[in-house]
Amino acid sequence: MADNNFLAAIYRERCINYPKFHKMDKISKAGFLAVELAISALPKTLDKETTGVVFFSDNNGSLPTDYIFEETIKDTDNFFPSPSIFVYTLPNILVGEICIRHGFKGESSYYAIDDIPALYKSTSPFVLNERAFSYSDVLPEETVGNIVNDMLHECSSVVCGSWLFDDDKITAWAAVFENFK
Amino acid sequence: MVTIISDNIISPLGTTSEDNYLNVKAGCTGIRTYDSLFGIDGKISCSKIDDALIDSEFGAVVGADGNYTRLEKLALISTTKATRNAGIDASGFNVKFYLSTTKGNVGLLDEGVTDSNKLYLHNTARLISSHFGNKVWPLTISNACISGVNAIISASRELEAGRIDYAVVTGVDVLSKFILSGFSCLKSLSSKPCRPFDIDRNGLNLGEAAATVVLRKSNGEGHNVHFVKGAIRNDAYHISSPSRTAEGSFNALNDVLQGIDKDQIAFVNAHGTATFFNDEMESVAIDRMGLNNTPINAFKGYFGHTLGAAGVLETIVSKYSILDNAVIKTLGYQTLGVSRKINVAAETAGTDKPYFVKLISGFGGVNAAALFKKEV
Repeated sequence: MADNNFLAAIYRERCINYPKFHKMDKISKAGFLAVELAISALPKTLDKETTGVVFFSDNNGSLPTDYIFEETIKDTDNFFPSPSIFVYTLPNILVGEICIRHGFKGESSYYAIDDIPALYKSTSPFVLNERAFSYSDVLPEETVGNIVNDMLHECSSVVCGSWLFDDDKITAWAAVFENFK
Repeated sequence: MVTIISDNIISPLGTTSEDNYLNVKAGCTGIRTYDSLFGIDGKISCSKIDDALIDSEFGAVVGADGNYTRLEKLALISTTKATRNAGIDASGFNVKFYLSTTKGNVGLLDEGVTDSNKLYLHNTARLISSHFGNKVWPLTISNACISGVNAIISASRELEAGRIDYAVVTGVDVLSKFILSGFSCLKSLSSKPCRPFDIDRNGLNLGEAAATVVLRKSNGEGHNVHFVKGAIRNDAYHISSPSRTAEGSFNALNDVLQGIDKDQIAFVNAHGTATFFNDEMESVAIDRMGLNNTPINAFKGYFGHTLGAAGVLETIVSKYSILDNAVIKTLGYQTLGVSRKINVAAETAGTDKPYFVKLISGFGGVNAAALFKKEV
């Protein structure tokens, strides 16, 4: 259960010092931590200028944060939209957060797909609530694999991740792929 | 290379690419000023498509029964027109659909609909591809304002790898209280028609559109416009403010212009939202690239910022203008208001050069550049 307490606990346990973390929405926190753990386990440093980041999510996109933003605007007499919530209603913001955190200036993108579980099955993923980790040259499911492979023509490494939001449960996954050419 | 074999734009300026282009060339704009919209207080300028036009076009072109949202109707009208003009069998396994949208059907939340699967971005892509009986897994790209160019780049890679024969790339977004409130609280909106790159610019206008390109792998020959190369680069600077050194925009531009003679570039069609920071940042990228003499234009004064549709729509208008040997003026622009000396097109002029660049940036630090070439 990736609730805020669980996410904060991982943040503390890993001794991550990144105050911007606390301003992120729940989805970004989960994705951020998955990437944080995946990268910290790497045997090498990634080249900042040429590393790309791509995230995939299931159908929901940023919907959990969309609901929160809608609450701030639905009542004309109680109208208080907040820029700090609105920016997180763009599902690619998490990718931007990761690029800022690690200084990655390669390609960055976000795709909404509808079969994240297939992605999990086809890899040995790092899953946040199981605390496993994958640094793999085996690319996931075909379409996702093609996108990552195509990005590897442009980038030295690609940080690939996903999140799955199901009621109050977020599962985040991240892996790093490298161009072995 | 990849060729744009067919295209369509649905906007307040018309329901075909040709009509949109002719209206742009005539200096028409879809932007109107409203006393208030969606119950939000205060004057607001937007480019909004008439509901009656959407319904009559939908009935005449698509003619499907069922409960479709405005966004879905626009996407289906545009996709139907573009695939028909292309003369392709859109149901084939060699055809893949791409959807570019920032917020899809998020406007349903404003109507109190919270549990519809229409709120899922990808279901809009599914709805489009299954409308044509296409069974290939469609892709939905939601990479903020660069989504449209991102989708063209992704589709072109798929085509060049030979995985598919045709890609149908549709960009669409509509106005809603949700989107308007968001940009309003970011203080990004101008109450008056926007003025890209101008000294008096004070924000953007939002716009509605659906735009579609049908792409095919080609050898780059034949009288048409071909996609040569695209690049996407992150600023790694800030989630909602562009890099002061235009890091990502410059890197993307630099990447696509490797080995290209700058004198052969007819124009750079910039993002040019008319916000202070975007236009300033783009001027830095263009200056760093040494494109100070190259004509720079932006189409936001004609269509507003059409979000997920912008990259596709502005590529199509650029295509028609280069085929017409014209550099279209930046509507709303009079006096240079950015720190770098760049050559913003204030008047429509002729050109005989073959290349244009589509430049675009967005929240999340994303930037993209795409190079296109005309063959005569």
